[in-house]
Amino acid sequence: MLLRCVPQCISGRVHHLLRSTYRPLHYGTACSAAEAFPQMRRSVTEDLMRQEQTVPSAEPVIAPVSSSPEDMLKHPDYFNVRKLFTTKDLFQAGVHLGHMEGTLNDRMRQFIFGKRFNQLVIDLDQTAEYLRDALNVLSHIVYRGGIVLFVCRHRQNGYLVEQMAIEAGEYSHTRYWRGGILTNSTAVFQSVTRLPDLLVFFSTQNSVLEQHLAVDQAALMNIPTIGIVDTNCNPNLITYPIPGNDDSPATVAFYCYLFKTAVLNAKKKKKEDDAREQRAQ
Amino acid sequence: MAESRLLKLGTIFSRVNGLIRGGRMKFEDRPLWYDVYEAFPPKLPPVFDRAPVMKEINDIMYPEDIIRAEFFKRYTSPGVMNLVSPAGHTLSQRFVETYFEVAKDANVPRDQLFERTASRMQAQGTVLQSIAQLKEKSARIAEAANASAGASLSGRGMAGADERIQDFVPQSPLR
Amino acid sequence: MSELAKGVRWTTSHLRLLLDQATRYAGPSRTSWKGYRGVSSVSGSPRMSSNSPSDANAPRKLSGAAVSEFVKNAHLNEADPKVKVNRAMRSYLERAQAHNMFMKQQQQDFEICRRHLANMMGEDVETFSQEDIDDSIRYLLPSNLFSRRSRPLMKPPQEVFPQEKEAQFGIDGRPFRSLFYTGLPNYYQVLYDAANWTRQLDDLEDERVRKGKVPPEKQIDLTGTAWKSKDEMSKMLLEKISDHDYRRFVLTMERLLRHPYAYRVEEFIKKYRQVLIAETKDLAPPVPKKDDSGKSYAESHATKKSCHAWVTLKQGTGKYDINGQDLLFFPRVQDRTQVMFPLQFLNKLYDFDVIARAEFGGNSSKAQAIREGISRCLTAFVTSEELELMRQAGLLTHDKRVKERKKYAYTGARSKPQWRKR
Repeated sequence: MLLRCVPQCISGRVHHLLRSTYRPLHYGTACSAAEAFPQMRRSVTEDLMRQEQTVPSAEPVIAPVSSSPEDMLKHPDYFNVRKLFTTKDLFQAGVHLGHMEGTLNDRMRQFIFGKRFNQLVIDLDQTAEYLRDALNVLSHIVYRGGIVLFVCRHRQNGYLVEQMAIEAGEYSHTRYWRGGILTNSTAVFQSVTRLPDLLVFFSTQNSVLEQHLAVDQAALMNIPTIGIVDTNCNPNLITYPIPGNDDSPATVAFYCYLFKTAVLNAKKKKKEDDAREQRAQ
Repeated sequence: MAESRLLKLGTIFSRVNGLIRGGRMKFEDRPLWYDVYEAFPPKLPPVFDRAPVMKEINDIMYPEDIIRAEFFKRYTSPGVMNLVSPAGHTLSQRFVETYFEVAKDANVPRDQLFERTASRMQAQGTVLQSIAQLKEKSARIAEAANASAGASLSGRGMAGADERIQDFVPQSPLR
Repeated sequence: MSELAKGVRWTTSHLRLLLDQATRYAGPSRTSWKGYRGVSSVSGSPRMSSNSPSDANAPRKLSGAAVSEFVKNAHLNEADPKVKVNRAMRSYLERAQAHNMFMKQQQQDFEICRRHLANMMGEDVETFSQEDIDDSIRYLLPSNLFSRRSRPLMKPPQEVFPQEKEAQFGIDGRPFRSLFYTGLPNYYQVLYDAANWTRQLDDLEDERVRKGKVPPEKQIDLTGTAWKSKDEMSKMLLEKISDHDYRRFVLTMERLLRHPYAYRVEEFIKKYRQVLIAETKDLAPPVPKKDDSGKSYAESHATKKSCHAWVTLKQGTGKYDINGQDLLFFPRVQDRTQVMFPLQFLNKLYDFDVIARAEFGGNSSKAQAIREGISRCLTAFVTSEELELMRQAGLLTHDKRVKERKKYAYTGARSKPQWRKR
């Protein structure tokens, strides 16, 4: 298992390097080292700031739309999930930290920003976009009364995910995945059972080397999936993949906050819309 | 519920669409996510055998890396750091900052930047300990420790100490 | 049946009839129960829909949250055709109805059977209790089967058939429990709660450490208790727990227990402990009596294999009377030492006379039965410390082992005839 931590716990030089980016420092471009090595990039801070600029800073104006299902879906961001986080939040939560280069899954190549001393760094620009899409879809499905099942097979983070699911009023599965939960549910639960309408993976891996069984089985049962895919994962079968660090507790806590807020917001919105509809009648 | 139970062909949407078109599933019975997927399709089609984009992965390097590397080559580790508190700067970080400040002055010869930085930091009261100095210091400490140990031994009588030391000489099994 | 009711003489056919009735509640019906579950859950006719709230049978026997949820939504269901009863709930309601009907039928059958049995035994039908049923079954259908579970029995259907789990989900099919999809929601809830407590106590400890406080020396008193066994847990949680699951449970709870502030969650921990019954508490020492000459004596009865021994221990000088003879009744020295051991153990060989009658069994059985009888009698004359010593020496533990029966085609209970390759 590759040990990784959030930047605050990283020891040694990597810590120095990453840590320097926390401060809004501009280094002069007219420095000797940069002149000596013109192929070198600007500092991480500048990269980060550049990334932030690419994120639309002005929120799209949310026109008041009717809450009819058709109008809702026409709206690009009905639940306003764009406001939930910024790229900087992602960085500070350590979402950009990937595994060592040797464990890279080629299918994740397109989401990678670069490597720093052999440790892969995930492109947060892309992560932000994918994450916003995923949160939007999650909100829509929750709004329609769908069942969301949060899956995480990471021992350390299981408790967090279970707690979040309870608080969000949704479902979690952080334990050993018994075969047939989705594919043979009538036998497993000994009665006809309503299956979840969306699976959210906090980690798509079952162990370091194996993919979680539920990824395949959700695809078999035509259940859409949202998944945090780290640099060693296969994002192909995940309907809405989110490239990002899936190991650090602080990062998982950040995802938990996002998903929980999105779910609760959608439920609140549903209640409000229902109340408005009743008043109109 | 009608199911296709296919994994490797198409996406979940195309498979459900196929069921609807083929009359195995009524449009009214479509899954709850169907409309959402249609309105917000994923950026990449979630198909089993999507080919990877073979993008080159570059090293991320910064100007200060060189300075820092040089710093650590010459000077020792900055000692105890508080990793919990995000405030405060580490020694190497302060060195890098000073370096850039020094570099702003165009009058300073480019090959003397490092030495100038070091002297400026020392002038500001920062102790920069070179590796040679550290070695010397640790040797001094070891010597002092030996001396004190010897003193305590001599206090008890050297003859006894010799015997005691003899006890600790490892005996080779071959001898 | 009517003949039985009139109380005519019993014939073998009557007995067979009774046996039929009885066994419907015992062993064989368990398999039929399995079949019943399978049939109802898989091929329950969809037309037998019970989603109309006026269906009296279905909702009445549903309990707890499922009922309230159902009743709450029932009127809504009628008024608003938009609210759809989920397929899962519909299926559950069908199954619950079938189960209730099945149980009702079984209850009726049991009642009829009970009345017939009372008539056969010539007892009052109205006051014929479950103990009477058990007695008469034992009398009418004597069984020597080794396993008690295999012997015929007649119990109320509620005791024989497992309770149907109530619905785990609401009218829209959404499960009530957040951990429902794990398949073992109750079990994993316990683990979650334990982890939750551990974290809360950790927080508490951190806060105390920051204030410079040391945890008090308080500890939960767990003497005489142990973690609930795997079976106990399964029964408590209504879920089948594997060995692995159980080990994980114990690990988690042990970890919580080791926490310096664990005493704050005593209630939670004690829920999963069971009391170990001390064996000495079970032993009621016989009350010493006085004979004509004023000597105290105690009597007891003990068994070993098929042997029964009736022992009287009287204050005296160390004489033995075993079936009218002295210790030499036993030809082997080993048996004699067996008989003498309890008194020798407490150094009271010359303080008591032993009068014993042992019947059936062989010499060893007799000796051991008498030994147990003497030990039991001795408990009337000893101090509590000596009693504890005797218990630890195993003198008060009944040896319940019996000979295993010989099996057909074998030369003994397990030994097989010598095998030779053709």
